[in-house]
Amino acid sequence: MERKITIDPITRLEGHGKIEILLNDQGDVDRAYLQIPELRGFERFAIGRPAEDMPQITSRICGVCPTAHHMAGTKTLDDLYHVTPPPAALKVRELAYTIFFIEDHALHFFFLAGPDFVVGPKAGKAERNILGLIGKVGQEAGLKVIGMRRKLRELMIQIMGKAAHPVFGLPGGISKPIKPDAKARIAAVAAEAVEFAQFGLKVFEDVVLSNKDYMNYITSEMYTHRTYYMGMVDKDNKVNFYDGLMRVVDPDGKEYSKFAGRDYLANVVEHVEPWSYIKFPYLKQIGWAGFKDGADSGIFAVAPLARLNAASGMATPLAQVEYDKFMTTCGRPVHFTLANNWARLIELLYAAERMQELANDPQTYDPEVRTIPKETPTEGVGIVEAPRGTLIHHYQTDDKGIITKANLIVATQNNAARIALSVDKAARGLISKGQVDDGILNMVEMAFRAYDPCHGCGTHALPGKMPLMIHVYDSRHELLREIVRD
Amino acid sequence: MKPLVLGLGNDLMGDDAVGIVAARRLEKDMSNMADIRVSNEYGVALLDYFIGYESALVIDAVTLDTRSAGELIELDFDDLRPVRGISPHYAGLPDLKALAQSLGLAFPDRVRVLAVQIDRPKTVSAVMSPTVEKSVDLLVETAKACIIQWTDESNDHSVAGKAV
Repeated sequence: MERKITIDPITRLEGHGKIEILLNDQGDVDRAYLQIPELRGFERFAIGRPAEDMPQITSRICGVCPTAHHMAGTKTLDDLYHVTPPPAALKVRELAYTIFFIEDHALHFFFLAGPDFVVGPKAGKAERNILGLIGKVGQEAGLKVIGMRRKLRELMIQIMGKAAHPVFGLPGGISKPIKPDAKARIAAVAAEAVEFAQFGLKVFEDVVLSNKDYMNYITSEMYTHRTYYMGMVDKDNKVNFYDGLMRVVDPDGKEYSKFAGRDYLANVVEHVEPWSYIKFPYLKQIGWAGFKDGADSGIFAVAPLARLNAASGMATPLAQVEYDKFMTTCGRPVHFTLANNWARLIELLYAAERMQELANDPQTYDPEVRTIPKETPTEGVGIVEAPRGTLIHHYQTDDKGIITKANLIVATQNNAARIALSVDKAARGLISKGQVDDGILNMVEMAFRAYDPCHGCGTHALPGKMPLMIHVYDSRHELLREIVRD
Repeated sequence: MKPLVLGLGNDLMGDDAVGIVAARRLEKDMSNMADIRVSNEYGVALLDYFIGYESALVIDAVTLDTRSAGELIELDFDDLRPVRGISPHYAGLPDLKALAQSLGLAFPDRVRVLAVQIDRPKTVSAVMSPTVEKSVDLLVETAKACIIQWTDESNDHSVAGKAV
């Protein structure tokens, strides 16, 4: 008798998703799916609107990663209007972006992934949350996380106008320069951010790397896939979040391709499945071979682990030391999905160091921050590395700059096929003979939570709203039981 | 101390904008009596807004099975249930208060929620449905009354304190 277990929506995940696990007569997993049940329609909504509105419109796709959409939209406008921003504008944009990255990566590690590792993957659900985390690491550490986020958000408001929805990106630059008298404050917060990132890595080392059981989970076969990896790199093939070429490495870690943003359609295409609204991008030249890993499958990964694999190192010294340690410990390329959490902390340190470099760069405070566009808009592509992976915006307009076509490939889409592999493999590895409990389901969820996926849900939690249910169905899909997590 | 008025929602998601629209109207008339803020964030990300205030009025949209679109719902803090154990992104007000208390941060003693029942929370649109649009006037007036009441109580308390 087939049983069907539904987890809907997924806990600790930005946006709504649903996991369906189908059991066979023996109670083992036949197939596990990650479904995205929502259709957002933002691309359609964009048609007929002025292109200049896109950084603001797309930043409202969800309340979690607005700055990434704002920055991708702004870069797309540069391309669309064929205009190059002044150096100061590019530096301010990157500075703002690194601040956003620090805040976002910190949120993920301490608030979302942290409870899994610091409190423990098999801890009861009542403890596996931020209160449980604070109980483990102490009030002082909790205050450090909250305090760091507050200082970063204050700077975001100062530089970008708003923390949640930036309003400073314009084609050819930004709306206002940073005054030189802000330098001391930005540099001070940057220095604190470097210490904060090192604190995060120390917590990870003390709690995770020194725990044999956790390391066994991280390196276990059920959390491992040998896929291609894609990420943005600078001229030296070092990780870059804001600008550069896209680099793809194969499952052996060798460079497979390198391309500019404008050429993404020649390199990445999307596969459609009937059971999900999300499309599954894959490498065009390799082709779609189904949900399988290996060199003959075009499935690739993005996000922190992929970025570190796709690059040859980090562009800042402290992050480079951590990168070397990471690769030495895990082996290059790193195929362990749960290693995303470690990679994320290394990126957090890089972002903090890069913030410090930009904060101390006199050119960041140059008043010349706008090149006025003079050419007729046509078509533009803008790519940034969002915290959750490669984010692609592509707009076409008429000669008045009105959007006629928009295409967005968000980070979670780029990772969708690998996430599907991860959910299926983890479910098969963890569920046996019908034994399914809260701890096991959480460990299945950990397989995709490591990617920090975002399904772009604009709805926010309503007070008292219960977001998680587990349904068990028999082979005729009749409900056998309902578990409500509350 | 002025109370906090926090309008929540997404102004590109049709009816979900109702809290944002109401807060922006309050900003014109009531900013001398309250600190008006808007956000489309949720969960733990909202904690920063509340810290340091004694009173907070949250204006939001809701989708409840038992209510009709456009209906105004008033909730006090004690009416809210914690969702602790689920997700920091889905954390509700009781969870934020528990988190603030665990960190020794000052969370408002007095929290009230004014919410409008909406129809289509996931429809991408820059305009609200006519039914919800009509509810904005009542939402704004109710919020004003709450702010005035809290301000009067605060002044009375202050005067009484001086008399003592």
